[in-house]
Amino acid sequence: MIVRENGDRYDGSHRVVYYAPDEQGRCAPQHVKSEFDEQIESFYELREAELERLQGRLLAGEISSIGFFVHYCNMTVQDTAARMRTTQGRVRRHMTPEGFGGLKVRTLKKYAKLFDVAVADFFQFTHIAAGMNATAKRFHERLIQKVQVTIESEGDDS
Amino acid sequence: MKAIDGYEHKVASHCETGTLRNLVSFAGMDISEPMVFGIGSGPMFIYLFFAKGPSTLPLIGLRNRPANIFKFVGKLCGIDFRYEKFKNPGAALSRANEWIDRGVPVGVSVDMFYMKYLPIFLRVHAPSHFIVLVGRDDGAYMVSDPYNSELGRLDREDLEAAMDTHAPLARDNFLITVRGIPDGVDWKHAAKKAMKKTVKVMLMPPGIRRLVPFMGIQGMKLYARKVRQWPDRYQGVVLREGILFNAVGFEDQGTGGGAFRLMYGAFLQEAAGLFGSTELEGLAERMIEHGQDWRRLSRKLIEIGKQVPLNDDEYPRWLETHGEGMRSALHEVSERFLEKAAFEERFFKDLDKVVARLG
Repeated sequence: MIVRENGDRYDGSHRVVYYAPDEQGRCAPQHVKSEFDEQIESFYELREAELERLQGRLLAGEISSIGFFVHYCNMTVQDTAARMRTTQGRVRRHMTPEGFGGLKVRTLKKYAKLFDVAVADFFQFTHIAAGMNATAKRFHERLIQKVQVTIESEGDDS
Repeated sequence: MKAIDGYEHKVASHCETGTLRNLVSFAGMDISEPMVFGIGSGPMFIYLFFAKGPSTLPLIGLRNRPANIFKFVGKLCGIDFRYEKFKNPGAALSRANEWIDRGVPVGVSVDMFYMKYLPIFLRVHAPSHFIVLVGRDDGAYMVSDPYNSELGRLDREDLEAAMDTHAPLARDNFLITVRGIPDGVDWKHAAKKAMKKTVKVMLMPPGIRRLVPFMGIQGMKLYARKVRQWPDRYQGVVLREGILFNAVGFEDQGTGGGAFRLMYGAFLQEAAGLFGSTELEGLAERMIEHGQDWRRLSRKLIEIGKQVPLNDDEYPRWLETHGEGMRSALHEVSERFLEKAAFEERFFKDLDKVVARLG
């Protein structure tokens, strides 16, 4: 998984459609900035904190990479099991380091699709320092991943 | 990549109503989003106290079952929707390609998690999101998503993952196209039937109410009572995020604000114009005021949620000094939700009477 030091930030560009009465009292659509933009910003902070917390648990051997992504993607064991077409007991087992160790590549590919990551992301975190950029391209149903790390050019704030 | 000639991408507050409107608009029928929502008997309240979704608190549903708006609008307006279900995304996309190549936009049910053109905070595992495919090249599709200001681009791999989720209640590998629209629509008949249906699902007969106490007005009352229990059941960031998610969910997650009540008010105004009914116009005003008050309540929830510390370690100490204040604030919110439930009970009974008097 690629983790950027500066993290993702909200650019404030999102707009939502609200219905509200106009001057004539007609309830009409308005395509405007969300009234709750502040909550969106705190979402990014919390996500960063959650990443750090889960990474700590993963490195301490409390959870496996599957456990990491179930929590990070805000999923429940029940939903994960339904989507993986397996039992909740199996998912719980896969969420432990012991259970993860016995997983087949085929199962990892299915999990990778569910979490929208590459199989390699279950085994590695790549931290990208400020001023660097990284792009990942996946091949063969997420089994192979090519990561390209570059130095950000001037004026590039991506 | 080029969009199908004549397709106009329009944003909407909700994905299903927006997708339906955009599809039929391409086919030549002019209909507003509130009219789609109202004729689709959209309003609902379901408090799934036994299920957890992307929020840290139990799931709340504010509208009827996904794809029911398509079903009801199709039936009442005489729009001939073609529904096609496939075993796998490959087969579904082969069919979708045929339609796109023939210049027919294709509605698809997808998991929002894979919609890469959306900002990350919207990309949650919600498996009943509706979009329209309006163009393609070898490895990607052009997507008209009512939540996106512009047409988006989605890789085929992501679209396949989004269409084939195996999630509960998902409509996997499901395509919708418009086969035909009627020469004329009896809007009065459609609106009247839809209002009756909405009254029925919101109020429900007493026997059914007891069987499903988490739905309709009963569901609102149950939710209101549970709000008081939050500080005992949840703590720290879980509590904070749950409260905030509830409030943002009422306003921003495809509802048009006020948990769809403002959009329903807009529908009632349009319906009142059709019938020339001042009684219905009065009900529309009441519903709009109710929706605006719901917004005020959501803001109150945001205020309460934001007071809870972001760090779990600080929570016990914070609770000692702020616990009573939070309990009392949530108690007030609970009372106001009970008032909202009582309002809706009266409102839908009144709507039933007014509909019976409409010509």
